This record gives sequence, C-alpha cells and structure tokens, in this order.
Amino acid sequence: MDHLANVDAIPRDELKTHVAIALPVLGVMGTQLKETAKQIESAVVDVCCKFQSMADRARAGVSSAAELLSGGDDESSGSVESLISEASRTIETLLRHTQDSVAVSNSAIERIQRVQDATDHITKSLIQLDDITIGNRLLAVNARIQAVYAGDRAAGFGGVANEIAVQAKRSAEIVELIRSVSSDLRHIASSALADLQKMVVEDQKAYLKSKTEVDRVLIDFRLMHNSTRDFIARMQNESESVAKEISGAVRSLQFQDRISQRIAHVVEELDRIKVDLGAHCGGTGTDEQMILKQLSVSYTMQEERNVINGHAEEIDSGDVELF
Amino acid sequence: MAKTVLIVDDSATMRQMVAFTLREAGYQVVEAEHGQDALNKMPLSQINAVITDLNMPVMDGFTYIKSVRAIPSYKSLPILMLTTESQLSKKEEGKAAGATGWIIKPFDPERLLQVMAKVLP
Repeated sequence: MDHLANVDAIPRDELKTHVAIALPVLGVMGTQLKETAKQIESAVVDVCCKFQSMADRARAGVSSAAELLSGGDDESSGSVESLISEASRTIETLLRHTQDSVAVSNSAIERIQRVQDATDHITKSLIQLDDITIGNRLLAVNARIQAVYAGDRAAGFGGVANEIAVQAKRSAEIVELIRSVSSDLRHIASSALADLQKMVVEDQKAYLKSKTEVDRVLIDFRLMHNSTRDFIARMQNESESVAKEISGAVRSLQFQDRISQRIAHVVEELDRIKVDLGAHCGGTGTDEQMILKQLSVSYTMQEERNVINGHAEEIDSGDVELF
Repeated sequence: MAKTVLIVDDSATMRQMVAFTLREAGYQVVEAEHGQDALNKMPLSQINAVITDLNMPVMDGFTYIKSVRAIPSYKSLPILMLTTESQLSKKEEGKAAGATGWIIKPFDPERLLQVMAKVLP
C-alpha cells in the first residue's frame, strides 16, 4: 500500500477501488479477533478450573491426614493419641499382673519357709521322742531285771516290762517313719523354695526390663506422633498458602475479561468501518478471493485458515508424529 | 548424567513451559530465541536433542535444521519441531529439511516426555 502514501494525489475512483480491495481483510480481521478472544476465554476458564481442583485436592489431602490423627467423627475408630493412651494403660495392667505374680510367689516362698520351720520343729520333737523311747527301753530293761529279782511274785511285772519294750519299739518305728516323711517333706520344700526364689528373681528382672523397653517404645511413639502432627500442621499452613496463591493467580487471569472487552470494541469498530467504507465504495472488490488467498499464505494455524475458508477443519493440536 | 535439550522459540512463554516440563523430568535445558541464537549456543554445551519452533524471526526452523544437519557431528541429533503448523505440506518440508518429528502446539506434557524418552533412550 506504499503507493497510497500521497492520498490527495490519487483520483477518487482509484481510491475507492483500493479501499474496496482492503474491505474483505477488515471482515476477516474482525473474525480472527473474535475467535482469538474466545480461545483466550476458554483457556483461562480451563486454567481456573484446574487451579481450583488443585486447591481442593491439596486441602482434602491435608484434611484427611488431620482427621486420621484426631480420630474423626467416628468414636469407635479412636484417635492416634487415644490409642497410645489405651496401649499404655493395657501395658501397665500387664506389668501390674506380673508384679502381682511376683507378690504371690513371695507369699508362697514365705509359706514354704514356714513349712520348713515346721519340719525343723518336728525334727526337734522327734529327738525328744527318741529320748522318751530310749527311756522306755531302759525302763523295760530295768523292769525285767526287777522282775527277775522279784521272782514269781513279780511275774506280771515282767509282762508289763515286755509290753513297755514292745511299745517302745513301736514308737521308735513310728518316730523313724515320721523322721523319714519329714525329711522328704523338707527336701521337697527346699527344692520348691529354690525354684520359686529363682523364678521370683527372674520375673523381677523380666518385669524391670519389659517396663524399661515399653516406656522407651511409648516415648518414641509419642515423639513420632508429635512430629507427624507438627508436620501435618505445617502442611495445613502450606496448603492454605497454596490456596491463597491460586486465588491470586485466578484474580490475575481475569485479565482475559478486559482483553475480551477491548477486542470486542475493536471488532465493533472494524465492522463499522467495513460497513461505512462498503457503503462509500459500493461493496467489496471483485478480487476478494484473491486478496483473502494472499492473506491465508501468512497464516500458520488451521483455525486461522478456517475463518477464510468458512468451514471448520479439525484442529489437531497436541498431535505427535515421528518421521 | 542428565541429558541436555536445546529449546528454540521466539515466545518466552513457550520456552518456559517446555523447559518446566523437561526439567521436572530431569532434563537439563538450554534456551534460544531463534535459529541463529541456537546455532551460536550449540557449541557451548553438550546438546543431546533440540525442540524448535518453525516461525521465528532472524532464522526460522527449517533454515536452522538444514544448518544443523550440515554439521557432521549433528547429523543424527534428534530435532523435533514444535509448531502450530499442521499442514501436510509443511510436515513434508520439515521431514525433508531433516526434522526427526513433528509436534503440534499446544503440546501435552506427558506425550512430549514420551517422545523425548523415545528419541533419547
């Protein structure tokens, strides 16, 4: 259009012809602008939806984690903290039962020791019975001797002496039996006592060891739980920050609305110019198709060519082809 | 060792989006604004692949590819065109110039990474 530089020198009819040639271009420009505005709007809406989805998912993720820690609305599920407390109570109960067992064992040890004392007492009593038995035997011997001295007058006396000897012998046998039983009993009691004492010592060690380990595990568990809770609190803050930034981005994307309005105003003006010039020039030139074909040579996108061609060929964006 | 991709596009936004996609996948990225800028930058880094636009000022994509293929060490360098052009005639022209593949904008990040994994095993 360089030859239009000195417009005043150009004859009116020739000028009208030049303008008529350019008129179709105005129409196409207007349509291109409208289509562009629509594309921008569509893209911005898509971006906003995706931003919103991202924000929602970030919030939902953090909320679920926080709910897991707190136990949520279902009372039967229990929070992590209440589970830790319950586990702690159960373990304390178990350890208490272990302590009770130790106490029972100590009581049994005490009773066995009393049994041992009783057997000692029996042994001492048996020694006294031995003395009595020896005394009875001596008495029996003396009685026989006296019976011999006394002759026939003391015959019955000899029988009594014999009976005393027999009883002494029987009591000696019973004493021996009791001594044997008492010895066995003492032996059993000693063995049981040793076993019980050993068990008590081992139980006590095991109790102390278990308590130390359980205390350590519960402390570690609590520390880990607190770390997790702190982490989730930080994530909640991060999520809030992300949501705020996304809101900011969505606000910024509203530039699209201002652009759409401005483009619409430009298109309106182009349409008006086209109508006005068309009225003055008596319609478009006969070379409209040629002008438009020249215009399409500069186009690089199918959607641009669709405006000129007047039909919508499929736009294959995102397509990939390896040669 | 991370592979390096040269991105050639006169649009800063497009370079940014491609670079973001590639860096997230572990690639290193070098950027150039047009074909001549790309030719100047290529000797400075070990370039393993190129993604280039077609319509650029100073030197367009086809001219750039032909220049690259003229250098013996770059004869088999993977060069992908990333452009809005979808006409078959343009694709044929690209293939004849020496392009390895053709991607139509806007690109799908996942598909782009799949193609990169294919051309840069």
